Amino acid sequence: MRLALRELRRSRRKFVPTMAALALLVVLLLLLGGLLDGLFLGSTGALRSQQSELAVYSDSARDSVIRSRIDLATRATIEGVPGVASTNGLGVALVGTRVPGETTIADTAVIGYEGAVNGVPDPPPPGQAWADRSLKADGVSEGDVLKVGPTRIPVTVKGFVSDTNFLQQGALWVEPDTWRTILDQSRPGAAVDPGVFQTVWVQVEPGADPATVAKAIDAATGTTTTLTRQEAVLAIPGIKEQKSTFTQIIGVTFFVSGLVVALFFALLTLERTAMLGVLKAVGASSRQLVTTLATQTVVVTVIAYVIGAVIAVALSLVAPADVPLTITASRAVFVAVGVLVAALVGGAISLRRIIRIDPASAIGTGT
Amino acid sequence: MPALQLENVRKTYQSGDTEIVALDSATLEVADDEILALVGPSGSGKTTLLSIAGGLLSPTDGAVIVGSHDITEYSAKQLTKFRREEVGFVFQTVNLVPFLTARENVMIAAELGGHANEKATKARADQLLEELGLGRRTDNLPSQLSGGERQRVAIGRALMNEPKLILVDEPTSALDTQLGNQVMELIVGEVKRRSTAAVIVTHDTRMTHYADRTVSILDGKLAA
Repeated sequence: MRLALRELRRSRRKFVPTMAALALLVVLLLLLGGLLDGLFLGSTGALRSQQSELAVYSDSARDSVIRSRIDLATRATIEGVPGVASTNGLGVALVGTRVPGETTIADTAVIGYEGAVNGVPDPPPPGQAWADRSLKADGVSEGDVLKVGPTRIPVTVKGFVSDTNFLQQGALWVEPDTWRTILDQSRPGAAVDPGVFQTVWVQVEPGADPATVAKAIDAATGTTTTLTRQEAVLAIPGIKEQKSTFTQIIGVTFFVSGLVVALFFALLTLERTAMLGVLKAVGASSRQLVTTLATQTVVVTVIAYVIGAVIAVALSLVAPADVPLTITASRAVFVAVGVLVAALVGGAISLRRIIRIDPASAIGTGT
Repeated sequence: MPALQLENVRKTYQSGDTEIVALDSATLEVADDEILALVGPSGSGKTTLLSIAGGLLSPTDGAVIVGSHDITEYSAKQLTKFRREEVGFVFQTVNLVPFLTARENVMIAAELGGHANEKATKARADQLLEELGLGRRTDNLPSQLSGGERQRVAIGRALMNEPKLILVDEPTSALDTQLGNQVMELIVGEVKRRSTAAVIVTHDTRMTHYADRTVSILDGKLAA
């Protein structure tokens, strides 16, 4: 290991190009991951914040909250299914909102709900809303009277909540009748009757199996599709596509990272074959030389990661507010581990060559 | 006890269906303070013999005994330890590790052993370099040393573990007569001063007078 560190310290110029390339790949990985996470979190907060295990949609809605309708009779049937502990109605209206003092219209998701969910207190009084913190970027402040929808329905901001947006639109959490009024006036064709919600969220009884309860609900109503919370999150339009697209790009970037390290250490090993032969001749074991390679791979990758992470975080801080870029701790750890694994796999390409170096090559047999 | 004994050592290689005999029934003994010059033309088998004596190659047949170690049947792992602790090599091209200082190059075998007392090892390396006239160059990298200084560091590396046998490969092949003489004088002087045995492989018969004895090798066969 000492040998590895001495070479890194004294021949650092040799390692700089690889370190720089890896650092740039780390920047790319963190920004891509940050965009994926930003898009995911900004689109799914309203559903991820639900405490209930199951979401019930009408069959015809094809798993879309906006298209779904659950009437009073269906809800009563759901509540009668064994294993169902309680239900909560949820509805969403995507509307433009005028913010006092601002010239541009903010895109908002007005969410009607019946009871507190993760991070959002009980519904405020009629005409008031809990606003998602992201709406501050649109100029929204506590106490503002927002004009919601084409008929400019006044809604007062009671306070702020976090990570609750829907489809990249800033959430305004309101009591059900305020939501119905806004939906009715902004989308007359999509209006719902009193008591009707778009989806109903089901809390199952302790010990009950959510999958079994979901099947029982659909069997009992005959007109619904019941999803788990995770399934409901992934059913939001575009989420799966975004995830698979970004995942593929990220996968390719990891592959390229491994390739960069593989090529560098393959060339380095080739360049120092004679020196490695001498080291073996004077008593270095293959294991010691492989440890040297692994140590250098890890050190180069860690330094590149730190540089890349600092650049990525700096870029995320100066990125425009409307760019959905969120670098999370879990993403940072994922990229760190991924790059390290890719680098070690890449470095391992040179293992065979190192092991096969013949100590006799230091002398040159056959003369 | 002889520093090196080879008994009917044979080394063959397979090339397709043909068996190539690199060393044929070589029997040789080198006394514990003797300097032996092994001379022969290119392809005669002298480097093969040196490699077998140093545990870099295993013989096809015969016995190889270095000091008290019969290394004939040693495994690769045992040979690695043997090379680290029992023999010293001076290679044809100096081959110092470019990113290690003169002192670290001399200490390399001891460091690879892993269990040396670092302070004592460092003191010994410094003493060796001092004796080789490099007392002021201990912290210099090979790129900061002249060709002659690098050669001396390589000799220091070979002597570091106080081996009973030093194996020297073509030390003058790339040097003119004057420089070749200087290098031979240096090697022989250091080896003699420590009463160590050495086998010096060379094709340059002008250098054989530095040795106590000269053995010729031709087509893999030794001749006195």
